[in-house]
Amino acid sequence: MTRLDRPTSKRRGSPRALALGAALMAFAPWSQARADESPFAYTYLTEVLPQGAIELEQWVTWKHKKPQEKFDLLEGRTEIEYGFTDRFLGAFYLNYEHLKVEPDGLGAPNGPEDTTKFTGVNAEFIYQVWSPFTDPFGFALYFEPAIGDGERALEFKLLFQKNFLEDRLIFATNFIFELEWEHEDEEDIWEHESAFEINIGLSYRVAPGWFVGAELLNENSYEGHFAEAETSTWYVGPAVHFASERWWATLGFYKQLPWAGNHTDEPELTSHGYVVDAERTRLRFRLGILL
Amino acid sequence: MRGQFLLIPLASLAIVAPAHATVYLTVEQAQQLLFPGAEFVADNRTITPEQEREIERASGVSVRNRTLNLWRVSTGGWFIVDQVIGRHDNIPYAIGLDADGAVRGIEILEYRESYGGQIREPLWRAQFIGKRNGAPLALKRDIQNISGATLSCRHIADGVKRLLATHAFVIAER
Repeated sequence: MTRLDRPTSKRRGSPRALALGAALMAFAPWSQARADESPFAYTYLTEVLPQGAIELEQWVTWKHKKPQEKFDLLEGRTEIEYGFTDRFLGAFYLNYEHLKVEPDGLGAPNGPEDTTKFTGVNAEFIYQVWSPFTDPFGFALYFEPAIGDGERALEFKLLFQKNFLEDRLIFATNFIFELEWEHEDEEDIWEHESAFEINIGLSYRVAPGWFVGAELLNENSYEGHFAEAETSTWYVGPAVHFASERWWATLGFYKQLPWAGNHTDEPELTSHGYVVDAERTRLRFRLGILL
Repeated sequence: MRGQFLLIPLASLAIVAPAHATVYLTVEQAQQLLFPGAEFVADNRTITPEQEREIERASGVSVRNRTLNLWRVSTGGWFIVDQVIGRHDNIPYAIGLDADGAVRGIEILEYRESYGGQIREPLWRAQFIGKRNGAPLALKRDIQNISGATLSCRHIADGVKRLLATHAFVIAER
C-alpha cells in the first residue's frame, strides 16, 4: 500500500487539517504498487516477474464518503513492469484522477469541486531476497521514487510472504515507510511529511485460478519526517482474485474501522473513532496483462 | 478533454487476450512416449483413509484426490495420470514407473501458467528418472530449480514424491 491508498484528506476546514490533508493528498498520486500479480488489492507479495517478462497493469481506485460532503475520488494508474532478472523488477507508471466534492450542510469543510487531472509519475524497484517457495519465507525490498507538480516522495517497503497448505494459503505483510517533500508556493519552502503503514493479507485458493481473502490496512501519518505522530487510520475488507494464463484481476473493498488514533492536540481530526478527513470506503480493481 | 484519462482503464480491458490452455500431450500420446509399443489396462484405485495417512506421512505431501488414475502396462510397470497445483491452474502430468516402482519418466500433459513452461524441458524432467520412494525430491537438493518456474518445479517434485509413496502403499502392496 502506498500514498494513493492513504486517506484522501485534501479538503479540510482548519489550516492545520488543510495542511495535513494537502500533504496526504500529495502522496495520493503516486504509490501503491505491487510487484507482479497479487491476490490482494493493497498488500504486495514477494514474488517478482521472471527475467525478460513484461506486464501491463491498470489500477482503478474509488474512494467514497466523508462527513458533511459528498466525496468521490476516482484514481487511475497505468503501469508497465519489467523483470530485469528473476529477482529484480522495475516499473514505471502514470497517475491520474477525477475528484468530485459537493458540500452537504452548513458545516461542510470544503467548497464544491469537480476536476480531472494528471497527478504524477512513479518508478518502482523490487529485489527479492528470499523466495517463498525455496526459503523459509519470502522477503523482498521495495524502493519507489515519485515526482509530481511541486511534490517529491520516496517510499521504502519491507515485504514478507509465507505460504501454507502447499501454497494454497498465502499470508503477506508489508511495512511501509514514506518520506515526502511538498513545495509551499506562498512561503517558497519545502514542507516535510511522512507516513508509516502496515498491510496484512491472508488469501486462500478456493478453486483453480481463484483466491479469496481479506486485508487489514493501518496507516499512520506524521508531521515532518517522523517528527510528530498525527493520526492512525484502519481499514479492513475482502479481496477476490482471478488469474489465467495471460491476465489476472483483483477486486478489493475496504471500510474504515472506528479504531482511529489521534496523537495531536486537535480532537476534531477524529470523530466517533474515525479519522474525519479519511474516506470511509474504498474499492480497488487491478488488472494485469502479460505482454 | 475532461475525463480523458479515465478512458485508459477501458483501453487496457480491450487488450486482454483470451486464455487458451496449451495441451501438449493426450494420455495416449504420453503412454506411448513412456512405454513405446506397450498396451495399457486401466486399473484405477481408490486410496483408503489409512493409505492416505501412510502416503502423507512418508512423502510429507497431502493427498488431495483419493482416486488414482492408474494403468497396468503390458511390458511391466505402471502409468499414472495426476495433477498438481500451479500458480494459477492445475498442472496435469503423467508418470511411468517400472515394475519395481522407480521412475521411468514424466510427461507434462497441459500447462496453463503465465511462466514456467520450461518444466517441459527433457533435461529437467530427466532428473526424476530412477527416483524411488524415499528419495528427497527437493529443490536445491536432488532436483534443480528453474528460475522463474520455482512453484511449478516444487509442486511437480512434490507430486512425484507423493506418487512414489502411493506406489509403495497402494500399488505394490496389492
